[in-house]
Amino acid sequence: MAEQSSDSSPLVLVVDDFQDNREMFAEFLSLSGFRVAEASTGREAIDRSFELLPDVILMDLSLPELDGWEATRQLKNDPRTQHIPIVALTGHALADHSREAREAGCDAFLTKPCLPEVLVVEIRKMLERKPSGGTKA
Amino acid sequence: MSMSSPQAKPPTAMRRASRITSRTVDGPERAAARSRTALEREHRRLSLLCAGLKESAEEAERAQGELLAVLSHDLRNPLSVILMSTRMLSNSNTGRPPPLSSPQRGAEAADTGWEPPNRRLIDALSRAAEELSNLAQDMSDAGRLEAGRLSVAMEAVDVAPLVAHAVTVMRAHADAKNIRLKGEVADDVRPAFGDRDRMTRVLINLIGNAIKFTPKNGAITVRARFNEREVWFSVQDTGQGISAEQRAQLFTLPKSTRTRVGQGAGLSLFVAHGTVEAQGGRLWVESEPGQGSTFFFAHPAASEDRTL
Repeated sequence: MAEQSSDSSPLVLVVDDFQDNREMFAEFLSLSGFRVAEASTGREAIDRSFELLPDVILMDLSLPELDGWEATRQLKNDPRTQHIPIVALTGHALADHSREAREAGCDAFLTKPCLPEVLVVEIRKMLERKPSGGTKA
Repeated sequence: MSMSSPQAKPPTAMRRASRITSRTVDGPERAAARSRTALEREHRRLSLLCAGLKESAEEAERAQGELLAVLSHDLRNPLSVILMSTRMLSNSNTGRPPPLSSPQRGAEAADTGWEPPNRRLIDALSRAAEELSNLAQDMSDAGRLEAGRLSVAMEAVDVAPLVAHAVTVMRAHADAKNIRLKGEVADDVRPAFGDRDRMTRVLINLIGNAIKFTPKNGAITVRARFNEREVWFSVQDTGQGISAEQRAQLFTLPKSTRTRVGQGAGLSLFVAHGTVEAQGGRLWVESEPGQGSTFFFAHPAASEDRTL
C-alpha cells in the first residue's frame, strides 16, 4: 500500500525534539503517501507553520524552550493557522494532560509509544474533518 | 434499697472538693496543674510535628511519583523509536520496494534496494536500545544513592587510559553531530583515587550530556590534570550554556515533569554528582548562557602509601 506522495499530497508538519522519533515519523508518513516537513522546537513549529501552512501538525508536547502547549495556543490564536488541525503527541500518560491538551486547542491526543498505523489513521481523520477545498494542488 | 446510688456521696463533700479546687492552692495541686499545662503543650507540639512529618512523607511520595513519571516519560521516546523501527523493518520485509521517486532515496535505491532504510533503522534501534539501558542503569544508581547504598571499589586509577577509553566510546556519538571530541591529559597527571568503573561511567555520562546540548559542528574537550593534591577532570563544550537558575537545580532529582531544565534534564547529572561524592570527590559546573559549559570533577590523587 505504498502510495506515491505527489505535490497534491497533504503536508504534515512533524514537531518533535527527539531526532530519531522525528525522522522516523517523517519517514513513515512519507511512505504512507504524505509530504512531510519537520521542526524540532516550539518556535520552529510556529515559524514553519506560518511559512508552509501545513494540512496537519503533529506536535510533541514536551519541547525545549517554547513548549508544545504554548506553540499550540499561539497557532490556534492566529487567524492564519487556527484552521490547521493539531495532533498532540506526548510521553505523558496522565489523564490531566489530555484535558489540558484539548483546552490548549489540540484536536487529537496520542501517547507515545504510538503505533505508526494509529498515527496515520488519526491524521487521515483530521484531514477528513477539514472543510473541502484544501490546499493548493 | 440499701445500695448506694451516685447521689449517696454527700453533696457537701462534693461541694467542699470543688471549693478546694476553685481556689488557688499552693503546693502539690499547683505543681500538678503546671505539669498538666506542660503536658498539654508538649502534646500540642508533638501533634504539630506529626502533622509536619505526615506532610513531608506525602511530599516524598508525590516526589517519587513525579520521579517515576519523569522516568516513564523519558523511556517513551526510545521505546517509540524501537516500535516504529521494528514496524518499518517488518513492513520492508514483506517485499514492498521503497518508492523510487522519493527524493531521500537517491541513486542508492536503484543499486542496493533495501540497504539505506534498513541501515538507518537498525542504527536508530541501536541508539534507542543504548539509551534505554543507560536510563535503566541511572534509575538503579539513583535509587541506591537515595537510599545511601551506592557501593564503590576504591583503587589508584590511571588517568590517561580512562580518558582515552571514554573518548573512544563516545566518538561515534560525537561524529553523528560532526562535533570535534578530543582528550587532553596533562603530562604531570598522577593516578586518581576512585572506583574505576564508576569514574568511567561519570566521564561518559558528562560527555554524552555535552554532546546532547552542543549543536552540530561544535567542539568538546575532555581534560585531566593534577591540581595540588587532586586530579581534576573536565568536560568543556560549546553548547548553549546554563543559567544560574538552572545550575542551582542541575544536580538534583527532577522534581516535576513540567519544570525540567535544558542541560541536565533527567537523572544522569544527579547520578554523576552522587557517584563522585560517594567516592570522596566533588563535581561542579562553570557555565554562562551563550558561553558553553565546563563540568569538573575532582578526585584525591592516589597517594604512594596506598596499595594498588
